[in-house]
Amino acid sequence: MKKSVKRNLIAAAFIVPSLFIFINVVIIPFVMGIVYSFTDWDGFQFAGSKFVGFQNYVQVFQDSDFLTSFGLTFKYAVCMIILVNVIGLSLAMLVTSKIKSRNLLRSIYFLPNLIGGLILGFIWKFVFTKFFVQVGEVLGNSSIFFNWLDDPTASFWALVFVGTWQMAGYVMIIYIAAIQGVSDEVLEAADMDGAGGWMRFRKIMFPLIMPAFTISLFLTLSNAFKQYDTNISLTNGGPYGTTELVAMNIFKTAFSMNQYSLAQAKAIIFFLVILVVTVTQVVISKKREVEQ
Amino acid sequence: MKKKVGAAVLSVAMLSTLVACGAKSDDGANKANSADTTSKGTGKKAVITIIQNKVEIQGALEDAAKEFNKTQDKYEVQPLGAAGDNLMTVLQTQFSSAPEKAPTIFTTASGSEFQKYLPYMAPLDDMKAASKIVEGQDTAARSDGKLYGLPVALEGFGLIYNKDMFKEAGVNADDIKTWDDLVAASTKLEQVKGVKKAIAYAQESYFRFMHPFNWPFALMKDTSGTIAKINAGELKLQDIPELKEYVADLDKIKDHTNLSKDTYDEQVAGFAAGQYAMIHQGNWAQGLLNDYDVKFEYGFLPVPFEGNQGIAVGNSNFFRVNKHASEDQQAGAKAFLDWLLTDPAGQHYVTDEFNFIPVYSGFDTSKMDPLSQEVNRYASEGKTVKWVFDQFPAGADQEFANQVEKYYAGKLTGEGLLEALQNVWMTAVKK
Amino acid sequence: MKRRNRSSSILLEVIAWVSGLLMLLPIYIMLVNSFKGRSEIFTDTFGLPESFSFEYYAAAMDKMNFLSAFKNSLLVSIISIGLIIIFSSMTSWMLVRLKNKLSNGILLLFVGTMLIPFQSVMIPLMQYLNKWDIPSLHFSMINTHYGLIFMYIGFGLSMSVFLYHGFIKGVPIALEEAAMIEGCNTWQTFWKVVFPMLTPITMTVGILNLLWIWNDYLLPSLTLTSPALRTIPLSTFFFFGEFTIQWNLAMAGLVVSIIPVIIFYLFAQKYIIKGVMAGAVK
Repeated sequence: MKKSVKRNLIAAAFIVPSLFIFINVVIIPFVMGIVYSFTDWDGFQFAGSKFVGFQNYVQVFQDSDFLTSFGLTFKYAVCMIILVNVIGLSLAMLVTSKIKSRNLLRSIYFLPNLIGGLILGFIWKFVFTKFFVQVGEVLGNSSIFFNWLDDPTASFWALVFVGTWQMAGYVMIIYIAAIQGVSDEVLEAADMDGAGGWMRFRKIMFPLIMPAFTISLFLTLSNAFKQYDTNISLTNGGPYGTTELVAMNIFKTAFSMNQYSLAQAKAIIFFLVILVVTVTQVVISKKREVEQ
Repeated sequence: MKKKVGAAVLSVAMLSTLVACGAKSDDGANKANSADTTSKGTGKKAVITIIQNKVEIQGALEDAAKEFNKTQDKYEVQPLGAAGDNLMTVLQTQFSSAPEKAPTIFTTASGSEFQKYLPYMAPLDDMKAASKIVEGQDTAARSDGKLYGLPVALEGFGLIYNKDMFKEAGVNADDIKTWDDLVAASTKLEQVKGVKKAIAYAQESYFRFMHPFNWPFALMKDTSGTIAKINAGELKLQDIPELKEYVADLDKIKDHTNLSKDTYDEQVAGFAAGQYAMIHQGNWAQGLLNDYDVKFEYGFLPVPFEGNQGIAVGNSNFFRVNKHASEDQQAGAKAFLDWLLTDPAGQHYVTDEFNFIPVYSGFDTSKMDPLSQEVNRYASEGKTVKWVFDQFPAGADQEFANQVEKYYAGKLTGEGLLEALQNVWMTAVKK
Repeated sequence: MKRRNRSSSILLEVIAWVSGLLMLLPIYIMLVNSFKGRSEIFTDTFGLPESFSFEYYAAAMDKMNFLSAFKNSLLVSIISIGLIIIFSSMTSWMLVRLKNKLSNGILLLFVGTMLIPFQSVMIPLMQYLNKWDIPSLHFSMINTHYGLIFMYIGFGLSMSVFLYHGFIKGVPIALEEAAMIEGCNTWQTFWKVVFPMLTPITMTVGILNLLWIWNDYLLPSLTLTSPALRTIPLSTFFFFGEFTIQWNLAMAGLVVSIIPVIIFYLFAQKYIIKGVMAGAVK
């Protein structure tokens, strides 16, 4: 009995400090935000706001712009998850393989992350509006090299492209940590057994990097869903409001339309939906982790 | 075991609320306290913080504050910084969490932003600068007869044109009296070597929609009455003759423009590089033109809609004083603004360093930059058009601009544009 | 067989460099434009600058008050990241080893909240932490570095716990048990036996948090008002007007501000590899 009390105290000592900070910085403001979403809060002091029940939530579902950007954000997230992880993993394998310039390349691939999302978007805007147009003029009528940001579809892919370009190096770091964890002996043993490249990857590497895979998928998903900086600086929702992702829509609802409680309601709904999606995703990939 | 950890979690949560509660009861004392530390009794200076939206003047403002701090020993003025589009977020957050700690002096626009922050603004009628405001330029800052803001600067927009290029093309700027003249001049100007398009608009919502559409609204007979009717749903944009005509005019000039594709930076750079003969911009572009090291002469040209011969002159940006700041801070804020706007030492910064056109009498305006002098010239000749775009529905500028972008992209006809704008207008009014 | 290996490795090298160049394109744009005048940026965005003078670097660093901003950024980043690593590694290890419903619940709480868009909690957060204010002690969470660090820890814990948790699951428990038998208590076991084994993931957590904290603009813009406290991103506000950006200064400022991160990455990268090898030897 006494021993278990002591054990619990030790466990608490490891967990409570984190939890204390976390609750105060994230959980309490989040709960406040949930409360706000049921009122007519005007974005200033909460005192004096009236409870309005689910009115804001009802309004969210009547907001066709929000629903459109929700759909777009889903599409964006799916594209990002696939591209970022395929490319990020490939890069990680490249720089952990035996190619000569792996150390240099590793740093090069990492560089994009150093430029914050806002400036990054502006720089790519130069590339799309100027570089692409110049190249297109040189090549004559080109179907690839035109100003992507002028066209709704191409503009969406520009967002995906830039997002992938940045995040691939990010998840690469996580994959590298995992691949480095696969010891050389295991790989050599596999080589001796005559396992070829693909077999080696599927049977040996893949199961071992599965936890990294779960982590990277989740990070990509949450970053894609929360994408704001690149959206603002690269397309600013354009052309004509066709590439507005959810985070931008929420921010606009609050800060330009002054509908703060509606924005909170949107954020809560958005949160719940991604929560369901990601929990499903994590559960599925955890299961596979175990099975493998 | 579970229970114990659970209890631990709970106690953490409780501890957090305890801290919060403890602080809450302190709140009243806190306010008194902060006022106390800033009062003269303790011999400490009151700190006056100032935050504003023009980062271009930040350096000069810091210098002005330094000089003011030297002239007296009661107050310490401290300019804070915020990137252009970040200012509104910062203000909102600070006023919503602790108004007494929010900046002592801040700037907001007139119209909806004025209404929004009105509960946080102190009346400024007793200020020296208030009595010197140029007639009519304070109305947008009045509520119930009291003055709640000091205009920052007079600004003018119209078509900034390249005088040298006009000469080269054989176009006399004074001869452009009608829209058709403008179209004809554009055709001629596009013959000049290096010119891509005669006219360029920038893509930001203010430059793509708010300013260009100020013309038809400002030049109609009863602007406020018309806008009130639109808001009430009694009148539609597509039924207003001035708007119909303006859109028809846009149709004629469209091919001679850059379709408002450039960013503001690119637009002005294109003008500086001789790719555009005219840009639809205001005198705030002076700083940029200086940076681009423009060699040719330039000046303002009216947008000749319905034969208009004036440029749009007004101000929509005001200094405000935070009502929740301590009395000392408010007094200091007023002292600083009075110094800046009425004392020659302060005025020097406004005209020579900020490059502002003063909205106050008693300034020496002889050394102003070229575009400011042009605005002054138009103003002194009485050739001005009012700024009315702050009466457009709040928060919809981007939505409006999106419709204009569709129009330029050929997805909307002129007629369709007005219908689309009408829809945006009504949606924004309903919210 | 050998020949196929060689040609495929050449192919790999080519692919690697092509993607490397694509990665470098914006970096190149950033570098060359930090040497150009404002109009040259628009007339010739992609060419080499007319001259390589460091005037824009000098101007940018002067306007940013770079030394002070650098010190502030360094202080905030190092302390935040250090504490994030300490707290999240301890917590994650305990959560993995406890393996009960409550620990799973806590994990889910940490991970789930990663999905909260920051913009939706920022106003409540400022309202709430503004209440933590003890004027008599000059204690305030707003406009202080420790207040900002506190918030960074709070926001950084989620991802860090998530990363550590995933990694620790793969760490064999045998070593810990051996240490316990030899008389180490839990605290000692964690710091002397477990934590060293976590080096690769610790470095990863460090890098990922550094990327975020070093570049973050929004949170410090809300909490730090005093000019003396500004971090590097905050001090670049000078270059970003409402409608116009001083590109040359912004780019020059960016170049100087990311150099420290590159240095840290090169340093950390060694440890990721070293740590793994040390683990493999054991």
